[in-house]
Amino acid sequence: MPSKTSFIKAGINGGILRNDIKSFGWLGAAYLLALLLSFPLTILMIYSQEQQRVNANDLLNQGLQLADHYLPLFQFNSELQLILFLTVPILTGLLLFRYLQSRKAADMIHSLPVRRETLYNTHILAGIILLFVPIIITALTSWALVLGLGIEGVPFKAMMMWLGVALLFNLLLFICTVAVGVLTGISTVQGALTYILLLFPTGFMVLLLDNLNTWLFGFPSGFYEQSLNFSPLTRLVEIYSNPLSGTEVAVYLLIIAAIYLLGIWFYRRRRIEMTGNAIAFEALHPVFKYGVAFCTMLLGGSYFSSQYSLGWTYFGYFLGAFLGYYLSVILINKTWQVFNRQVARGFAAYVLIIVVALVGLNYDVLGYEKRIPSLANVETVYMDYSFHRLINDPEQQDYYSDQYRRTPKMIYMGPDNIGRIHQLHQAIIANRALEKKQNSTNNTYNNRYVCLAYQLKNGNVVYRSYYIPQDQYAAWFKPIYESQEHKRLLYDILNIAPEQADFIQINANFVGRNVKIGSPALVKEAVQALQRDAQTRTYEEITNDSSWADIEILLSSGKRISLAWNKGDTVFEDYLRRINQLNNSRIMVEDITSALVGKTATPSTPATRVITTKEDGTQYREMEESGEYLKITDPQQLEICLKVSTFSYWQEPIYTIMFLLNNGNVVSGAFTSETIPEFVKAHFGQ
Amino acid sequence: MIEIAYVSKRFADLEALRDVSLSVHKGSVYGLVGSNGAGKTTLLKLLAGIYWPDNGIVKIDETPVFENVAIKERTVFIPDHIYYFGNYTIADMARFYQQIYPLWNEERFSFLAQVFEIDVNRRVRTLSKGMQRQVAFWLAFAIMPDVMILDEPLDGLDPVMRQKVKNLIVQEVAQREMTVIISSHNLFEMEDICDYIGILHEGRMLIQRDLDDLKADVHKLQAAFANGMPAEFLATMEPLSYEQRGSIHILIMRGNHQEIMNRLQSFKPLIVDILPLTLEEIFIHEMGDKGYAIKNIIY
Repeated sequence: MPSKTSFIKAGINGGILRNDIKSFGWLGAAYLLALLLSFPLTILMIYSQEQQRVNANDLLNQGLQLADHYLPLFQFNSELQLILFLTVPILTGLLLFRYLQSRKAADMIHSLPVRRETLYNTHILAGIILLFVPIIITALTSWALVLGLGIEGVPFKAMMMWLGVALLFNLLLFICTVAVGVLTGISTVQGALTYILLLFPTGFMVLLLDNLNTWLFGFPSGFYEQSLNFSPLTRLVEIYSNPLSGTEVAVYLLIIAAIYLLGIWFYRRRRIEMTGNAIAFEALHPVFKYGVAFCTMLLGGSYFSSQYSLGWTYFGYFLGAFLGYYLSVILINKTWQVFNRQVARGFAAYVLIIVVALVGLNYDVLGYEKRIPSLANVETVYMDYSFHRLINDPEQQDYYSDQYRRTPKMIYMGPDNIGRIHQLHQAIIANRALEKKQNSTNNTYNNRYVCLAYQLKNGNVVYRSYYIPQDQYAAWFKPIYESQEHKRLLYDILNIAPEQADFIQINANFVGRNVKIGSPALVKEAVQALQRDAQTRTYEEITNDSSWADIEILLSSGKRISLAWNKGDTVFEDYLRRINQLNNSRIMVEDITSALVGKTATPSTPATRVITTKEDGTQYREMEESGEYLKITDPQQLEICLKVSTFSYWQEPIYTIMFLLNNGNVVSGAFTSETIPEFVKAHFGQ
Repeated sequence: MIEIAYVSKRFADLEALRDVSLSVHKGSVYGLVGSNGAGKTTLLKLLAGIYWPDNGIVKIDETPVFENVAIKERTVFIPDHIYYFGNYTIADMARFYQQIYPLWNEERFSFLAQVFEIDVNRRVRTLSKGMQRQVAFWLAFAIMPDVMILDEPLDGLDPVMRQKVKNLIVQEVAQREMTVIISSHNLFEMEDICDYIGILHEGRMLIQRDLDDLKADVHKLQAAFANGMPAEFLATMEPLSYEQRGSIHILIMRGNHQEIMNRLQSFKPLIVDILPLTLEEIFIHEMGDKGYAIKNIIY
């Protein structure tokens, strides 16, 4: 019975291993040197800088600053490190398996008394040694520096995380290169194909989603885009801002194991005589040919559809597929003479299948576009501007958002609203022919995303996403928006008891005044007033979210609620008037020197900005002198303008208004078609 | 020792070997002869365990060669294009083979240094083509193989080195009963070293023979008669080929030497000579109808 050691002996060949290390040890040494430059040396450099700062008596917040400077190093924020991680594992794979791609070397190595599995395992072990040893030494050196220099705020865990992620990605990229090497017979193809394959998971999905978006009305590409970023290359670059989760680590480990086994499977079946061919397995030639054609087809379609009409999209599909197909045939056959009947027939078959599929999609053969879950099966429904809050884990929040109460996900559970959203959805589907056209015309002021996720009673989830002009569906949105359920989801103030609030601060917009309320009775009254306003807010007020002030409420739990005092909130306004703080809570006519109203020159310009620079003050005076604008100084008219001018992005600004404040600042807003005051209309002759 | 039976091998749209069979006894030398593209290299790579056959059996010591470590440890393959690791010296290559082949004999390696007279610290890739081939033999002999597979091994060697290498091979065969299969496009070169010859043409084995049998079996005779050729002479003798040069009749005949002589004597020739036959002549005659082709195959 074979013992464990004999198994290891069968798996690894010492001679081959020593030879690999001897031949390619320089690569490991160079890697180590570069890593040491990118990491421990940077720590030393930051440290010497810090020492100078400390000497300059800048002792305040020292601990925090130290951690802030050193921690990013452990979080893959070094460009040199990323470049190394994205290239060295692949280079290692190319060099160690170079022998497979050279006829002489392949013959020699495979005539040796070493089994293919043994060769494969041994070269992989050599690669792991060449990659891992430098990384481990780098981590130990860095940690020794952290300890030796007494740097605070860098936890041991951070170092271990760095080490773990670095090892994981090096192994993943290396093993991918190895497996691709077994499939190909040319080193350059191996390198190119490895990078393509590593980018494939993201690139292909982006292209596929982009194209399905064109073809399937309601296809929730945003949903899939958020949940798919498995391409190791893009993922590695992103790690600094978005650390790996445990699930991701597990998935990557599984992928590594799968690729390793796949590599062995193919190596056993590899014909050494195929060395020098782009794809070393004849059975994979059609996969390669049609795979490339499909991807380049999607690429062509995406490129042309982003700018032009549907005809150009078709052209992009054809051009992409044609180029991809013929280029891969040229690569496989190693000849330019591919324009014969047999190859053309293969391409024609492909085109035919794609045409049938596109026609099918266009006529919605699968019934995807019209499919809507039956109301009886729906348990809850999510509706928001994106899928972001549905997908993203609320646990992963930063320090800043930790201070605030978490806003709930927009999940509707009440049967009334589920029914209303269902009706809205039906209305959108009924209009799909029209909406498909409008999608391409992109009216940015009016259009919004409606992202839906039906949680069904059988556990399934149905996702849809639409880009529609909201005002055309106002009749459906209005009852939803005015429902108390929607308001509780939208306004967190409705989810607290007035007694929970400790303190309120009102910061008036545009002017530097604020009001602080700490007396329990007054705070309670204020919260009640804000709650009443929120409860009675109309659809129009909700969508036209122009406000007087920002309000911060500190709760007894230590958390905060942030909300706006909307211009239509009369209960709160009455309250402020009663406690004699109205003037301090909002911009007043007394703050304003004058205002100028003019037709919005370019409707696409965003409606509001606070203009604070002197140049804009000068510009105001120039506009004033030009005489093209209506100048307002009458206090009553100014008050009307303050009240109705909007800062909403949903509606198209017809007139722009600029207020010149006494303090020299200029504030600009806009009138939409519904809010133009009579005297403005009269002046401009409407 | 070596057994190849009904082996076929295709490369994409090319049929490299078709139904090829051969066998080599332990301690003998088999010469595989054929023109370029005949399939020699393919057959040897199958035997070296580099390729696997589409059909048929490739065995050494009655076990299949492919992925068989025990067999390959006792087998060495010197290809027509030899590969050395970049920047490796002869000593480096020797260390490598020492780690890979368990039968490696360091004494033998040192001893052979006197034969080949190349500095072991020279980088192999900087050596000339002929010297690289010498290094290949040097390393191969130090492996102490039971089976040697040689693809056009004498190409690029000068005549002196050629003889030295041949001697080494013959020695190993004699002393250790090493088995050798050796390919060449030159039949003549095989004559003094091979026990068997097989001729491969366009992927098929045309003919294979034991050279000792052949030489004992086929004879070239010169005869002259007082009154011209007797009428029944050709019918009785049944020569493989017959030629007349003036009054001299030249016959190539198969059969027992003594029996042929007895038959010839019955016609009372004036003179009789038995001449040596070149291997080429033997094969051309052996192959009968196909003989015309072999002239173009082997030069």
